[in-house]
Amino acid sequence: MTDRVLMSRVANAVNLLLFLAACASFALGLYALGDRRDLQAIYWLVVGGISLKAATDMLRPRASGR
Amino acid sequence: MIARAAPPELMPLSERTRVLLPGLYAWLLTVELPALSRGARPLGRVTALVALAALVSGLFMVGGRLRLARGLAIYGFIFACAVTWALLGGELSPARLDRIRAAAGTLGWVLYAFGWGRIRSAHVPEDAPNAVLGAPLAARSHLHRRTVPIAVCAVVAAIGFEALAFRVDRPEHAVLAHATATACALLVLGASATLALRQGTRSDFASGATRLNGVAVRGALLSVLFGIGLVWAALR
Repeated sequence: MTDRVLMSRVANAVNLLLFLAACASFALGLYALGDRRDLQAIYWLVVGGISLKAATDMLRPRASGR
Repeated sequence: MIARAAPPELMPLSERTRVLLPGLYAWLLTVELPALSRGARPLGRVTALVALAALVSGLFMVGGRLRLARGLAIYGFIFACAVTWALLGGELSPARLDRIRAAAGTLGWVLYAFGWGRIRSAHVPEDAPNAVLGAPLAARSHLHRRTVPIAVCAVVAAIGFEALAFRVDRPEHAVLAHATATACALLVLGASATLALRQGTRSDFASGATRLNGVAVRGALLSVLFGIGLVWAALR
């Protein structure tokens, strides 16, 4: 397995992990909101938003100039 | 030479019924019944009736003018419903809402929205006069094996978000929780669609190292947030 293929697989795995982390963080945020833990809810929702943004940013296509 | 305009598209009876029944159901449960409650303002009852008139007239009275029909039965109907809700004010507070009725009304609104979609006609495509006959075209690619699990995961997560929002029992926070849950569900579903369809299409991607470097800043930010979270949890 070449380094390029290995890095691609690692990137795919990180991508999926970020997506799953975003789902889990959103769920924890809403769960905390139900338990009246507002600050924790905001924390988890922010973490979820950043995770999801990172996951989608990794899917951007290659720049055309390259 | 000016081309003759195409005849207006007719809305079939089945399509009208598919929109009218859920629309009436949603209107009755979420607009009319709250508007008929004792404390409701009379103007709210009037706008509720205007909403009904917009829905029915949009679907039945404008004949073949599909654009006008949709303008009345979608924008006019929803706008009048929204005005009614605004006029009802405290009658719609979560403390006074019947949860079962609200959930059933939500289902009615979902069906109303889906009712505007069109079902593919039952005729055989090859029978169309403009069809090019020949060997069936093979698909250029197949879905990756991870595509379906990602989509299923996103749908389950979206339903879970909506269910978790119902745990919030504080009236003011409940509205925020439902809005947040809906936003999270939409974001996750949208991201999952992109993620699922990009599985196995390496040619469009930058290299793995470039992709990892591209999220380095957000990764660092997440690490800092997790660190803060750990310290916070340890101090509590």
